[in-house]
Amino acid sequence: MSDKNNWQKICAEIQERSLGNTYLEVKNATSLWAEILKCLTTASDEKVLKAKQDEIRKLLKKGASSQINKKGYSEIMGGGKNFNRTQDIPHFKMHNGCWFDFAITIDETGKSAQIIGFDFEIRFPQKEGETKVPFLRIDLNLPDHNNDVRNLRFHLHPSNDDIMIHSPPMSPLEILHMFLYGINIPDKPRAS
Amino acid sequence: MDNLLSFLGVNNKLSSVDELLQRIGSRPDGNIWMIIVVNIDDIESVVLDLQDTIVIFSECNTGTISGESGARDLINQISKALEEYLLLWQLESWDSNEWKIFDALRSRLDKENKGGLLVISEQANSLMIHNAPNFVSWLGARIYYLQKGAEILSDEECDRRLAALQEWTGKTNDEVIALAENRQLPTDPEYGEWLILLNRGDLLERQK
Repeated sequence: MSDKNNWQKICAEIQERSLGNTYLEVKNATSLWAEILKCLTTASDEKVLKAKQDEIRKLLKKGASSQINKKGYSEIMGGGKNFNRTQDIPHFKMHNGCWFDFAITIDETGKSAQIIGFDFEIRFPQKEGETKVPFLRIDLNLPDHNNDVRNLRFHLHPSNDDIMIHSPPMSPLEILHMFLYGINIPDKPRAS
Repeated sequence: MDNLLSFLGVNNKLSSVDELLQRIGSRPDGNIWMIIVVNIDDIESVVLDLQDTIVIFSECNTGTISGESGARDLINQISKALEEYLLLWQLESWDSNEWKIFDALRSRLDKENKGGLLVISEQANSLMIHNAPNFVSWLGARIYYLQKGAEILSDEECDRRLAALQEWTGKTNDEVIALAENRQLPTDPEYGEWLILLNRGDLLERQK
């Protein structure tokens, strides 16, 4: 077996392990939406999130899936689609200067509801001289996406849209908590 | 009575489900009761949604109690309930007398727990206001009218998502539809979303 084939086998094992250990089963889309609303409201009360309660309500929406045109597929959206990372598209702002948005797709056709796709992206404050917005994106692509064949359905982008590495087994609520409480933006960057 | 309602500020106070949940989450400790007035046809679906979500905001055991067997039975069920926060519904069959009984027994709502929420129709709300004045006074301004669907994506927000997709790809709606009709649509899920926002989800089946 060549090293590349061996890497592909490793990728399959990592993906299986990562997806198998991620909490993707939920009671239903409405419960998950309420959990997210509670998490964001608490972060606002704790002065972690800049958005006030009414702003959170304007940014957090739910409805039928915009990507799967079948009954029983739902979506939760936090902020607007923002491919070019511009500040004029609605998003959640944090007091530490970071800003983020997300979208989650839920399959409610089975006995228990399953999260089958999401994207979460947090952008960090730009340093002097930086021309591009630094970011971290964590994606779970929908089943049968191209990246599923490459065993990279569940991946993260470390500040680069073209680079993908396997994601740790974090559920949407865990990622949201990490955005809110787990990323420390130091006043002085570490010396390189 | 209208002066009392005006004083309490209960007229036309709208609340969406998400706002109501935030209110429940930020209520002070103690025996706090609220009313949400809902279109009679929506009561069941609203109660189902609230059963799944209130517990997240009340942060305690939450139970649902039906009032279909009358005010005395409801109050007895409340007395026996083990849950700390209660969702009361099916009060639409109550006449003036049932509301008067409820009003007279209102002290039994105070179990030194966290209170609860009544989901009622406009008609039941009117009967309650006129026949349970002590309970209404106790509620204070906590009577809300459900603003339905505020948490659902609006047409304006759909348009904004379409504009973002157009800017991202540099393509027009017509170009994307043409690509889909010719089975040349890229596999990125955003193109699927684009077709659905254009009400052309039927073209997605053709891509397989």
